Amino acid sequence: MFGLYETAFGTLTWGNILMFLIAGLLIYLGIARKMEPILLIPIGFGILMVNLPIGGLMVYSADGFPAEVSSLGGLIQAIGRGEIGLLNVLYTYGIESEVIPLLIFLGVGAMTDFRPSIARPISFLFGATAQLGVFIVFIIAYTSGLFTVNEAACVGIIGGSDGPPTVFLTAALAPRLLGPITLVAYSYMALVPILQPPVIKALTTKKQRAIVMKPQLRDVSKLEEILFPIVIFLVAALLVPKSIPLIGMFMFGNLLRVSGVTDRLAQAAGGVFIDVLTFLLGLTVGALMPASVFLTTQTLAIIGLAIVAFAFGTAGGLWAAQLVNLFLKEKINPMIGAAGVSAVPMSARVVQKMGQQANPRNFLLMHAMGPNMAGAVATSVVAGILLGMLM
Amino acid sequence: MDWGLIAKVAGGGFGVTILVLVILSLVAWIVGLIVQKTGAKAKETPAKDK
Repeated sequence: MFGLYETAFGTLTWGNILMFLIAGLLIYLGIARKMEPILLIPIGFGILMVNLPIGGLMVYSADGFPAEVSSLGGLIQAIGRGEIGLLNVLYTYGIESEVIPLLIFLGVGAMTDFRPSIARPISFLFGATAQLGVFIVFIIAYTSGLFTVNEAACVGIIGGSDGPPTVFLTAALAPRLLGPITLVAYSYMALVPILQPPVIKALTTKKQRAIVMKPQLRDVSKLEEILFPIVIFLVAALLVPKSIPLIGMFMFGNLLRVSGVTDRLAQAAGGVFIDVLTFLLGLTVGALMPASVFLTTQTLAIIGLAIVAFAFGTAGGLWAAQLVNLFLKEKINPMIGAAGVSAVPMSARVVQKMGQQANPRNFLLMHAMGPNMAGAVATSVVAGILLGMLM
Repeated sequence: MDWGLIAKVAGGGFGVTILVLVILSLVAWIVGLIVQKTGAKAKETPAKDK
């Protein structure tokens, strides 16, 4: 400006301007439509910050990756010299290290009530079959030639509809796609009420949707609640060791909730703690989306494939419930299987709403919460299995 | 295109996922059963003592 200092106008590209519009849309959806506001607002603002070319909050190396933060010792000097920015530090120590997604999962565990899953253990089967979308999309993504095998696995896990395992797996296997994958995963989770009903309607008859289930599940004792996170963690950890970080944090958070003596810790973990971590995650993920990284055919493909993942995940859960019904005297409403895609608690609410539309006497929410919670466990297991196979 | 890898990751991965979750559901069911039985016995015992 007047030869005194450099403005950013001359360095703006059309790509940057398009990213500003995308950021504006995300901030609008967060504020006006209340769609995942705690994530979409920081992601939107992160996109704004990183698309101002000489801002310096997130510095990129020539290969399109965030500049490396070499050591804690030289951190302040590196920021001072403009070699890295504040968001590089958050990315390296929060996301690349996988600290933030794991701590968020601890908070999720502290908020999770597993009683519906404990009362009806077959919920775990629906949680497992609802992972069908993950693997179908893996095949499509890999065979499309647009993604490497590791990237295809990360695109697939969007179908698990669970944020922390998605971020955890992508940070490990395909960090370059962390921005678009996280954005699509969280955006689509908010769109579950729009994405799931057409699939459920297409795959069930009105008679099936109208099946009434007893309003109450059996009582679960305090001892069962306490034993559940410990035993499930031990067994899952022994079967899929790579899932230990995710399942461990999830179940530890849950133990804080159910122990009855750590209420303050559980409230903190599921309250301000998780909120702060989530907005740090959102801001950093937003900063992973400069125009050069985000505006690619890969991003468009991820947006499309995620719909396929959700559709097949919903179908997988439904088909399993329909199959189980062949052997049951007292039929279950097959829609509860669709809640196995996780997206807690949105997909369970979708099932409740559709159940009431088919039969106003139907109260399926608690029945759907079982597969819903089991889906969160299943996605962590899938992330561990994929890590074990591909790392 | 490595079809062997696709089969391993997609087929194997989905199969193992179902197997692991079925085991977890069995474990949850057995733990519930044991806790309910021991709980019921504990309730019966003081009644017999009287």
